[in-house]
Amino acid sequence: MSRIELLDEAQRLLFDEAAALDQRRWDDWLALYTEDCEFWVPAWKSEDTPTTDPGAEVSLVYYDSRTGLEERVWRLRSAAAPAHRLLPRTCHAVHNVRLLDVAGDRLSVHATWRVDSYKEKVATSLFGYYDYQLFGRPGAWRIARKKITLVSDCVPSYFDVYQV
Amino acid sequence: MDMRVTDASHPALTDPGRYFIDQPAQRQFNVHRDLFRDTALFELEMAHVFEASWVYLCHESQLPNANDYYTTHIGRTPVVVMRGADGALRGFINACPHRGTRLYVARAGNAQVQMCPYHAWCFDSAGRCVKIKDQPQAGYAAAFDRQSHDLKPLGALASYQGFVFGALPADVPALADYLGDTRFFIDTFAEQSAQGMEILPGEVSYVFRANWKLQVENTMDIYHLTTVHSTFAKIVQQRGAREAAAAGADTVKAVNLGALSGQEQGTYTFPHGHTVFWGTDPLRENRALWGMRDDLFARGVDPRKVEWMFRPRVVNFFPNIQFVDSACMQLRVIRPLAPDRTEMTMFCLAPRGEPPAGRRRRLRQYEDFFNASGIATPDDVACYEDIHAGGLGDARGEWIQGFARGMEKAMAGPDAHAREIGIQPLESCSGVEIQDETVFRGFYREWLERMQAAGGAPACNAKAARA
Repeated sequence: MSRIELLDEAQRLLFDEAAALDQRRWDDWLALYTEDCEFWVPAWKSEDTPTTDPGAEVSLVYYDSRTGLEERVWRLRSAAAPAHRLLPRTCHAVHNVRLLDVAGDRLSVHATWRVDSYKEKVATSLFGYYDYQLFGRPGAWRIARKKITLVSDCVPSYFDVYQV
Repeated sequence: MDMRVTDASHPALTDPGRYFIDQPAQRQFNVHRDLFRDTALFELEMAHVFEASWVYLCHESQLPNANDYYTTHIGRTPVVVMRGADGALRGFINACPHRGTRLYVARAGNAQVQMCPYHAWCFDSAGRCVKIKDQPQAGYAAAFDRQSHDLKPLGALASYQGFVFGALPADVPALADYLGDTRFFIDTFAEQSAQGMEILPGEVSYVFRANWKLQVENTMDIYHLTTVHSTFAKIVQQRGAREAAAAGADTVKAVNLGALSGQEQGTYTFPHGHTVFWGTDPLRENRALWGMRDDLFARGVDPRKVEWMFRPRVVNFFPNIQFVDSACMQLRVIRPLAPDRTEMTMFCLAPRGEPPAGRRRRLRQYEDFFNASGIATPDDVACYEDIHAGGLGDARGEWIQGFARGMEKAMAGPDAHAREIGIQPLESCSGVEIQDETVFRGFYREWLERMQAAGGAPACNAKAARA
């Protein structure tokens, strides 16, 4: 498969993920991830440098399996969490998608993102970078690793995984 | 001297007692909603609560080397803490004396000399003005030469166990006296490692749309746990059940809120508005510190302190930092921005030399519960914001009722636990399932005393009423 075809497949997966989140198709979203996926939102250790070692430094979110994402979905579906009494409408924009590396059954993909959230007549936005590692084969890729660098890290109030 | 216009006839200064119903004989305490929403009052409390005495600034580990600096705020005032070339810590207003331009813009850094970006006056790491650009030709008068051009020092700066506090005025109590017996509890945050404590890289900030005092209350409020954090508690139970069924290891071992309820808990109120909550965790082996307990005993740390290191506990330092150890240790620094806007900055405090497995567990416990991105703290924030969204209730000005639990259980002076550890709180309240709210009074009574003192009114009305 050519590089341009692989890039196209990678982009489709990224856009599918964005659509699943915006349309609140949570099970479809979870199915995009491998069970042993890593999902990581680093914190920042200075104005210019995100944290780099989840074993020694603070992250905003760090999961080393899909279970953490499933817990998040369970929580927001439960209707029992004050932070999720009303879910914001969200709009994911994923752009500047680049295929950085192809290595056998793995694709490394970088992109930039912006998510606008809207709740109770107030709009907020968060933005940053995605670094994906996709695992599988042509026509059947899943997310083995997703690092979300939240550039705008002093957030209004709070956020969850569907807002980044 | 602060010459900003602050209306001296504002009722917050002439009659601050109007915001409280404090009748100990009738076992009644209420707070007026205006305390959370009045704009003029907000400016007064910044001046007389935040800028009038000690506030927490930083931890010494954040500026370990000569010429390191760390920027923060005392109330509305930007300040910088610097470690001079001589190794001494000093605190200054973070502004050039020339035009008031902010000097240090990064949160932290290292600068032997800092140049003002506007007209190039230069300052060394002891705050001395070492250069005024183009001085000889300027035609400065002798009056200018008689003025100090150095950075304006804070009135007071002092550390306790590595925690650095500062005050704008100089006439403040000695820090040790101000902290009083809360030092026993702060020690349980500070003495966990022979190598000292450190702030782990990755400070986290968020801004919520609610009054800062709701954050103060929330961290002392046990009553909310079983409702606000019910999904967190359930998720922790689900992890345990999966592990028991061999369907997946629980690598977080988060605090089990269900296991805490039904256990003994209590609160202490100390002079100067400081308060403490404590509980009992039957699953202490899940705490990250558990792997270092032998070391604690071997080092000869007071066994009573070791015992309390494994209790859930919070020290609410009046007015701006909360030493929290619930999910794990967290320092919560409160910076009020407006009556309905508050910036929180959170730090992960950890013992130096912690084994990697313990450090990893600590981080996972920290991220799991805390911060704007966790699965518990957002629910607290949502509730503060719902208080404001609800207009704090009746707009005609009724009284908030949330200070009644424990009223018949609270006692003057130390309870049995306090006597055992040799501390003298003003009030104690302990037992099972009280979920005490009387401890909030200590914070508000200090707030009242500050405002009374600022208005020139004789202080201690509330104290006199209690006596």
